[in-house]
Amino acid sequence: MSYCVNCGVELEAAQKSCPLCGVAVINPSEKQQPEEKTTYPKHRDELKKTDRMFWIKLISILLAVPIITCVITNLLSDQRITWSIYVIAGVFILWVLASAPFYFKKFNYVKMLLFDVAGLIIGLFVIEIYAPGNGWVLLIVVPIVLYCILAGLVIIFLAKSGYIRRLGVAAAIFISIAIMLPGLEVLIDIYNLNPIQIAWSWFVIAPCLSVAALLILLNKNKRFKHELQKRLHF
Amino acid sequence: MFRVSAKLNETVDKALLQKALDMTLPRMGLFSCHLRTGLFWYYFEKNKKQAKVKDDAINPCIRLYTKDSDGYLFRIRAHEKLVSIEVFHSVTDGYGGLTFLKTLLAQYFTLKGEDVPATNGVLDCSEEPKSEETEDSFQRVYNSKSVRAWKENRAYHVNGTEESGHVLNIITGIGSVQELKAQAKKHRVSITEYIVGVYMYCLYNIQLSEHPRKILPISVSVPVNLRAYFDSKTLRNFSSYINPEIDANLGEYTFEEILYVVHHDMRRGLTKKALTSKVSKNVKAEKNILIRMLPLFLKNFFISFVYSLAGEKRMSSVVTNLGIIDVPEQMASHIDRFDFMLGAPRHKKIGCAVCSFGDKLSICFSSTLEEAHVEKAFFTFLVKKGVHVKLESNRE
Repeated sequence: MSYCVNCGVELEAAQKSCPLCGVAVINPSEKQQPEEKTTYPKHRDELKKTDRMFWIKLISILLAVPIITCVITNLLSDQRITWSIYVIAGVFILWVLASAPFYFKKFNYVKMLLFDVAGLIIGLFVIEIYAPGNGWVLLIVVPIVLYCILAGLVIIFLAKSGYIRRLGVAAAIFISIAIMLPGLEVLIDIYNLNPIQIAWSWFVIAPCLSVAALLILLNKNKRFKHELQKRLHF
Repeated sequence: MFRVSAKLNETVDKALLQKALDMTLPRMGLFSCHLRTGLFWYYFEKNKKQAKVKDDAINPCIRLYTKDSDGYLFRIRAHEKLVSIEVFHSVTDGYGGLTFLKTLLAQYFTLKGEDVPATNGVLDCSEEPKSEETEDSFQRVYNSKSVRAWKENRAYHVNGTEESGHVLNIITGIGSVQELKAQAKKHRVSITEYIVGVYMYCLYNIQLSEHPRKILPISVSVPVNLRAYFDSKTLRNFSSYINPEIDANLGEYTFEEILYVVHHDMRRGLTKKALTSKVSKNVKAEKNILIRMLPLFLKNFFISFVYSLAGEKRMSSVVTNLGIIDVPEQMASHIDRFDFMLGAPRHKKIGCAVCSFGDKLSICFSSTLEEAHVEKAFFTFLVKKGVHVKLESNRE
């Protein structure tokens, strides 16, 4: 019979430490005793796992239906693949987005986002190859997507590690938009073969930055925040 | 999920328990079913597989569909001297689970050569299941006129580090009924009220020690067995709850003040009229034609949405008391004690279940938190009051 010196409760013979405070049960005068039987076994029950391959296969088969239908129709009418390539690329993007959650054993937003982005860019490239523009995917789509992902990951990281909260997150989003715009304007100018200059993006950058500044200011003012919470509470 | 266990005086013979289970299950009505998905509602259907006695685990009350699930909505487990039944709450409440366990044990001891009569809540397995046992008594109690809006505030929740991966930390304290009764008697309250009072006092102090920006009320949900109030013999779910509550913003509370509030809140809630009103509110939603027409997957979606908004926010924790368990004399000498345990709650993180057998009172905390500060506060409070407590735990 042993007692916890800290909590004063009696402990089951098999208990090696107090479950309440963690203090070890030691009786120096007692010799090594045979292991006592515990009330609870060591075996751990596990939940049935989702059959991830099954869902990937199911999604693949379901999405194969529109592709096959479109390709056959396309071949019958034009004797070659023309417009159905858009369907194929579109469905491919959808397939990547839908099956991504089943590829990863554990949810990891970095991996998942990168996987989705890779699928998106590949799908759009395929369309680009068959519907040649002036390299719009490489020049405009890829930079926008990559920037959004990068900014998104940074904001998620900052929010998760507690550097910014609510109003701070909103401010960070506005700031990231403001940073993106001049680059975007330059890219559009290059794509349209116009002289490079920053013109219209100022009209968006200015309000974005002022809203962000306002949000940061509000975030700092605890009393104001409290008043706002009270008035907007529902 | 919740669990009722009996600790026997000897090691359990699993083969014999399996035989007893095969004999008991046909008598148990809804227990022999599995849950099927309909278009609008779930429904029960007879399960033809054999229900197997399973090995116990260090993390009991895990969700139903484990690797070795046979589709039943309950599990019978055995380990050393312990026989346990874990039941999904949609089938029945503590009373139904206990009836199953008692009947199973009666069959087990009969096979061992005892002559156990079908009394003290043990069902007679030679009979067919009775229709009154599968009655949905809520429907009978429902009274459209007594539906009221019950105002329940957002309550304090225990903070701590959450365990990952289906871990349920259990600490069971075994004390003497007489000792606790003497303590309760000093304050002229029942044992349940006393335990709820101690628990609320601990939660109250823990909240204050965290120095929160906003102090929230402490509200502990106490399930009530409605069979005692509405003359029902159903083995299905038939319970409601009372939420004694203290508003910690009103000033400092002493232990006596908290007991006073608990005592009177309980007495006020434990009337047929108040209970009818609570039940009717839930049944009314079930009777609503719009809700009934909603496909099941939408119902599930909305229910889980409403639950996440309101479900557990209004209570800090649960204290459920299965009460004094009595069994036929021939069985009693083979049983050391009974334990009652709650499964992992979604948001509350900790729950407390109580039952007593003979002079042994078992208070079982199950928690998904790494820390044991609530349990420590609770049991050391009892020890300081002079109540002897012996602990068992699955914590390392």
